[in-house]
Amino acid sequence: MMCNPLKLMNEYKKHGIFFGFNGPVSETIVRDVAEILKEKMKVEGADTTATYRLFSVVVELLQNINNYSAKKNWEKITGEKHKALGLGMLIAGFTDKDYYVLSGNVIENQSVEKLRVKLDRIKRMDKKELRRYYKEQLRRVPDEKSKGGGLGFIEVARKASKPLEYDIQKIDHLFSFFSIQIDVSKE
Amino acid sequence: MQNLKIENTTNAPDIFFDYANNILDIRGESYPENAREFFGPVVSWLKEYIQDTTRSDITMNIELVYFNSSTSKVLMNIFDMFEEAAGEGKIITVNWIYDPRNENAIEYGEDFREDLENVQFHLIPSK
Repeated sequence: MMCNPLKLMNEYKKHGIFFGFNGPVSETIVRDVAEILKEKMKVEGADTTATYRLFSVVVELLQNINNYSAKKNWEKITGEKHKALGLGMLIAGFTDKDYYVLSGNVIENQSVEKLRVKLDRIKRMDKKELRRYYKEQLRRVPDEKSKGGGLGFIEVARKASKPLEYDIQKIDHLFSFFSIQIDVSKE
Repeated sequence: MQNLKIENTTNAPDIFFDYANNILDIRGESYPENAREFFGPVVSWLKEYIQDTTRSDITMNIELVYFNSSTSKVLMNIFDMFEEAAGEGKIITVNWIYDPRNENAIEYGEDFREDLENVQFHLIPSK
């Protein structure tokens, strides 16, 4: 075998991960992943508010990958033939007090700075400020461009029990890897 | 005007607009990737409905268990349209029906209500 599935499973277990995905994302995948996670939480008797918070974070982060991951523009950027698929990863797990969702995808280096500014700004805001900022952005995002763009990160931050964590690591002269973690309170 | 009926799917809500009986219902979950596209016919229908001079009293029931940020933008546009018509003398009521166990649904209802002056916006627990 190419890798050891049991070892991978144990690694997942160690981190409380109950769901893991890596690969191309489509609207159908977003829907099915979100629905099955909601179903799982319902079966386990999770709190309704927590269930919909997690559901919302999963939907927004996956839709974000589908809309903005650099692979979507691969051909435009590199000139190499590449199917326009959103590519990325998402895992969901739990700790004692929280659920957490972690997502990652490749982005273009040229969008790094803008993303940093945006996320640092959101990170510093408390719930009240996030609420105000969300409403402000809701009016600002132009209709024709809006795939919800720009609102997604504010939305997930509103659902989070602590400030979002993110990381951006350079891959090469064109691309970087972006990852973000959102914690959601179990209660 | 024709009635508008869109059956719900997993990520899009049930829409039922009954012209003769003045019933405007939106129910379910709403997280299509492109909400603007999905709600396009819905918004057009409402635009025409609001301009109907024979109708002075409009009520919409919204029971959305979950909606994504893309849908949020569309809802705001619909409420803005209502607010304008209400400012011009129409009586417009929105019943925001929420599951009391789901804090998110209440919070977003309150968010929308805050911005409306002329539209009667009621938060109603579903059970």
